Amino acid sequence: MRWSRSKGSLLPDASAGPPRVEPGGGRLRLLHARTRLVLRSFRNGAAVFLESRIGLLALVIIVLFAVMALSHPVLMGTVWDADIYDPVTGYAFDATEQPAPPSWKHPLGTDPLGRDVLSQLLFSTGSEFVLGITAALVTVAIATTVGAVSAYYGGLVDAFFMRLADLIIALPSISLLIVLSGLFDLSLFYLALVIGVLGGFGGTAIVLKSQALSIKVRPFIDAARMTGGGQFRIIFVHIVPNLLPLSLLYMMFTVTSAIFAEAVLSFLGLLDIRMSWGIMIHTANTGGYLLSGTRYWWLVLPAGASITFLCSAFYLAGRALDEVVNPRLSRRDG
Amino acid sequence: MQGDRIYQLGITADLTTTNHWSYLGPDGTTWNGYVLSDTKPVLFSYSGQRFDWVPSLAADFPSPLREEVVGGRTLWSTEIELKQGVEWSDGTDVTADDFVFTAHVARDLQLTGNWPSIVDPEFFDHAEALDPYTLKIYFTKRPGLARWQFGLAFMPVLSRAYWEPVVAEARQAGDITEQQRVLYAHVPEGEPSAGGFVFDRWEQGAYAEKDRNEGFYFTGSVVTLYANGAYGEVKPGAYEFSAYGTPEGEKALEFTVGPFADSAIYSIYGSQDATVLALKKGDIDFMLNPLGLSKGLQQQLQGEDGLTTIENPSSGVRYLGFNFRKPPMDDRAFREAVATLIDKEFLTETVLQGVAIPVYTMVPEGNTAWHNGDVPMIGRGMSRAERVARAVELLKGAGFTWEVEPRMSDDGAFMEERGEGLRMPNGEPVPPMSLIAPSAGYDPLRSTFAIWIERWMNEVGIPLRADLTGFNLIVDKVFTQQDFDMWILGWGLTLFPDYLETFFHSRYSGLEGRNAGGYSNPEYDRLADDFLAETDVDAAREQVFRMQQFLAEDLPYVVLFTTPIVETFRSDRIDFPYTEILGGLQESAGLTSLVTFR
Amino acid sequence: MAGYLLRRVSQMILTLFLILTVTFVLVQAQPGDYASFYALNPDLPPDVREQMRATFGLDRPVWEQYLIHMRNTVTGNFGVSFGHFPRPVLDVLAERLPRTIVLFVSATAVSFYVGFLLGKAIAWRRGGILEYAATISGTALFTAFTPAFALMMIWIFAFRLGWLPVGKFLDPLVWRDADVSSTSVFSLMLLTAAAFLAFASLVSFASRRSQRIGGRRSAVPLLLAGALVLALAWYLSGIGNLALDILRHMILPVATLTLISFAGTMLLTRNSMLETVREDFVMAARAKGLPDAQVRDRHAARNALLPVVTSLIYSLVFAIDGSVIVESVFSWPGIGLTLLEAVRTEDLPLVMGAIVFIGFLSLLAHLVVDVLYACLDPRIRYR
Repeated sequence: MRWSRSKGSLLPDASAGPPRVEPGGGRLRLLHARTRLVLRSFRNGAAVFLESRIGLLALVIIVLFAVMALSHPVLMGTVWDADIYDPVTGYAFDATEQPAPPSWKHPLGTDPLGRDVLSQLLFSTGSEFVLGITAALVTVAIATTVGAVSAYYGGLVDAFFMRLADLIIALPSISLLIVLSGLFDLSLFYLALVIGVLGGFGGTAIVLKSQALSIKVRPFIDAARMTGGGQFRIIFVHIVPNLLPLSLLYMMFTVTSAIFAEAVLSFLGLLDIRMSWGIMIHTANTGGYLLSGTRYWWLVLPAGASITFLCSAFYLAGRALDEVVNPRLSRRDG
Repeated sequence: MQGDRIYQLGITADLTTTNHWSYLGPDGTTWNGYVLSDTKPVLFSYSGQRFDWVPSLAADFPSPLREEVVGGRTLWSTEIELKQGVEWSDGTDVTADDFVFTAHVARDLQLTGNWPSIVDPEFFDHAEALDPYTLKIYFTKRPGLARWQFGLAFMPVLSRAYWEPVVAEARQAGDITEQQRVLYAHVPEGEPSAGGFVFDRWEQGAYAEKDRNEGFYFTGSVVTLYANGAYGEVKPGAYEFSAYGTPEGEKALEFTVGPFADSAIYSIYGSQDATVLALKKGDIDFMLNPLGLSKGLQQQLQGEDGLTTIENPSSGVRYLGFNFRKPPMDDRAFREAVATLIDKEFLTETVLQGVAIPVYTMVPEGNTAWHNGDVPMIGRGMSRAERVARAVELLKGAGFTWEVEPRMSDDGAFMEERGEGLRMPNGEPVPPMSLIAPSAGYDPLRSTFAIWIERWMNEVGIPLRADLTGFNLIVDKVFTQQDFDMWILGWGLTLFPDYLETFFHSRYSGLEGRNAGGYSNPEYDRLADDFLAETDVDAAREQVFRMQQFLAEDLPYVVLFTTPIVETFRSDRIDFPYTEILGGLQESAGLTSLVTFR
Repeated sequence: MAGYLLRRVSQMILTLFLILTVTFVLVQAQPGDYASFYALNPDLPPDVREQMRATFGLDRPVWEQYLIHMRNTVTGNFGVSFGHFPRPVLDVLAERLPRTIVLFVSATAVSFYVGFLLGKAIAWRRGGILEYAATISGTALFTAFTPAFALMMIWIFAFRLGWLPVGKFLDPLVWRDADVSSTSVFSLMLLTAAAFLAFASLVSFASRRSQRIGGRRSAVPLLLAGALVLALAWYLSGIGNLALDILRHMILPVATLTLISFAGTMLLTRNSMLETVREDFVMAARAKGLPDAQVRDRHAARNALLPVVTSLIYSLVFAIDGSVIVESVFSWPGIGLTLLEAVRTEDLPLVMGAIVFIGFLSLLAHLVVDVLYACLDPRIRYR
């Protein structure tokens, strides 16, 4: 792995270790050693990551949003009455006119249908995380597998997956998603799946494959092969774990694009979901509040800014991670 | 011909055709209608504001239908005298021949879309020009109001001189489909008009322009609506007409026919918001939109200088329909319980802040001639607790049972006991049901109704789930597959209420039929059949009242609400002779021939 | 070169094939049956339905329908639009294509240029305020919710300040006296741009060939002269004001697109510059004591440009693909808006046609930039 090597660690070679085939305790010890090494390299990486002020900022924002997402069920369980604060069916009986401006009871006001904007915002934060992370996991699962398998086997398998990736990169994905969501009843989960699959077989697979190629030629892979490690084992135990840091980087970018896609499709009124940041803006738009300038800011700003902040945060986190993972860039200050 | 007074209108979708055959055929969009309006003569039309049925190209009302034998066949006929001196914009006369030509083309080429409802091949046999200004129409069967007075009589008349070569070419074109295609595909250039405006130009995606018809026959006519119901129309030195009583006493409305604008330009914008900004900026004088302005846009326009906002009821309803093929929806008591539990007033007034108006019958109130204001209004004025109690009483009376009977707290603030284990009279549990309704993305109003209905039903133990989904999926499930329990959709309605037959007569309950719920009541079928065959306006009105009463009691639909249509115009530039009209000014395409300038 | 081109073109055809297949599968798999959409659409005359059935083979087995679908597409027969009956889909799309191309090619060019300039600047002055400000605001704009941002731009510049028109692509009051259609003006504008580009590449090619310093110097005035001639031609044609009107309507969407997308190019340029700056020749140039700006522009930036050019593909593809959003907000009736409307009104033939067109455009962009890249970089050998 490039980043650990650039930091002077011997991780890849060490993890391969001397060829030992003894069962039980030996394997366990190996596992311990590897875990320790991964942790150490992670700490090193984390240090570089945190050095970058932008990365730190991004991390803080993401944590903040995570707290927001978690706070919704808590608030609903304690201080918020479902009749009033439910993000979909609630109604602010206390307000005389909807949308109502911010007040103590409704810190971000209510939407045109009398629902509490803060509750919608917090509720949606959770869905956005679920959406983004599902899509990212799918992407990474597919891309690492495809990357590792293509790099390991090469030849026809490689040619097939790489041509497929070329093709998918060239697909007009937003347009396809629009057609897809227009023709089908896409739920948030399926949307995540589609974005994940497109990303997984697309560009991410190419990047991870080239990384896997550089791992494949390392001595520890040969060592593992010589000791009779099965192909499956080599790919998933030796190659894939070493791809994970780079995968993490691409997870970040996938989260950004998934959240963005959801927002756009919801805004265009093409998704059939009950609540999300995109739906919040859509509701404001169909109500005709979007071009009112600053007068009804609470209908657009919270959701719009959340989309921007969370997307930016994941994107910037990705870029900061890039500095960690990508030796050419991290070298520059040295 | 271009002058200075330009009536600038905003529309939010492009035209799809400028060909009138095609507009009334496969391209029947609202937007085409707005732009192509006011260019063709018609025999009869609705009067401004009140929708009285009055002659236009016809000089007077038609002669009563008469049975006669023509060439061995028994036909029904009527004669119509035409006004003399009405000219096409190329200077030739509009004659009975033009009408005969138009109707025969529609019949012979089996034109589609709206044409069959105008020139119904089941009724229309042929027409003859007895002389240039006398028209005789033959029907194969005795036509009801919907076929003749409110059907064929409204047919736009197209110029024979212009279209004959095109039609001749079309007829050469192989099978009937190809013939229609050739006719529809023709892009008119220099087609004469006999309306207030002549179509000038369509810049695709950007705008369309109509110019004033200098020779418009009706320019200068004065129309008077009297408070006593009478209608009067005078063009000094040309004609004088009155009907529906003696034209005397208080005048409810009087206006002079224009057009006063030299041109009408329809600018195409991509969204309502952009159109509203253009209106605020003064780029346009009025925006045409079949839905009117949304609430947020209204609030933005409020208090702006130089703008006037008007509000009218729209001509359409949103309803909840039942699938009669499945129990318990076929049980009248169950349907009434559902209707009772739905608090329309609470939803429209409190939740939706008055952007919707509760309704209890299909025919809109603004359609004064046909609306029955005395139908039973189930649940109206009841408190939540009363509604629950009444629903329980209704269901119990019909033999439904609960494991846990629903009960509200005495003050009606909350459910003390939620209903559980509801069973049908035959002892089987009420199956879980779904209510399919448009998602918030398509229509927040209907999805709000669906979500609240789900909540209210669940409170009393009716296992209903609101399924919010795409519009096309609802249509597919309800009309194409008929695989559903309940649904919420809406209908746009015509002025003449023959939809009461098409929506509820059992003959339309097959796949793809309008009566998707499968409502079938022989008694209602009889009422509907009688109404269709009626040729007298007053008798027909009584029948329509009875049908509305019947439906409000039998509840194949729970009619939910209608929306007001709110429009805004630049009153510092233009003015309209009247602004109170069912469906708003957009319903009359922005009154291009009546609008005046300041 | 020929072999390389051939390979790229065949790859492109394969992708197009994939897009066609995907759309076919989507339409087949969607809940409302494709055949019934054609066959039961109440807007269509019954006989037209029959004819549609025959044309699209809706009564045949699925694989046969697929073959027919492919054949129809290859021959440009996308069928007849439901919404614009009886206009052929191809006709509808051909009307809208020039508008999309004119808008998005201009926007991409501008945003690319701005991104490149900024990237160059922040790479040269690392760690400065400019870098933080540009990175953060660039990313924020890049991830800003496009529709909301675009609407805000309209609200500020078109409404509040009143500087620019609200949406649309022309002003009826300017056009009502003209007897040319906007489509032909758009096409002429495209032609002009192409002519200028051809002239510019000719000039740059000639100036590179000429070894004399003076030869290089004369390139700029030559280009200016070329631009002047074209401008004069427009002025004399009498429809110059129409083109200007269109340009005026383009300012806001182009500015919006630039703000949204310059960050990508900027960050890439920065990275690329950072690597170039370490190269020996840059060091050497600095050591020679050449002025800072000259080292930056002549030595570093020129070499850093190459990898950035690749990103041009992506920004162009991204722009065309994302045209749906921008076009719908700015009332710009191009291909993207057509796709959206077709999806909303279930005009399936138009949906298929539009997506194939968008796919084709993105592929074409890929191809053009690939070839451009290959031409620019002497290190690339075409195999």
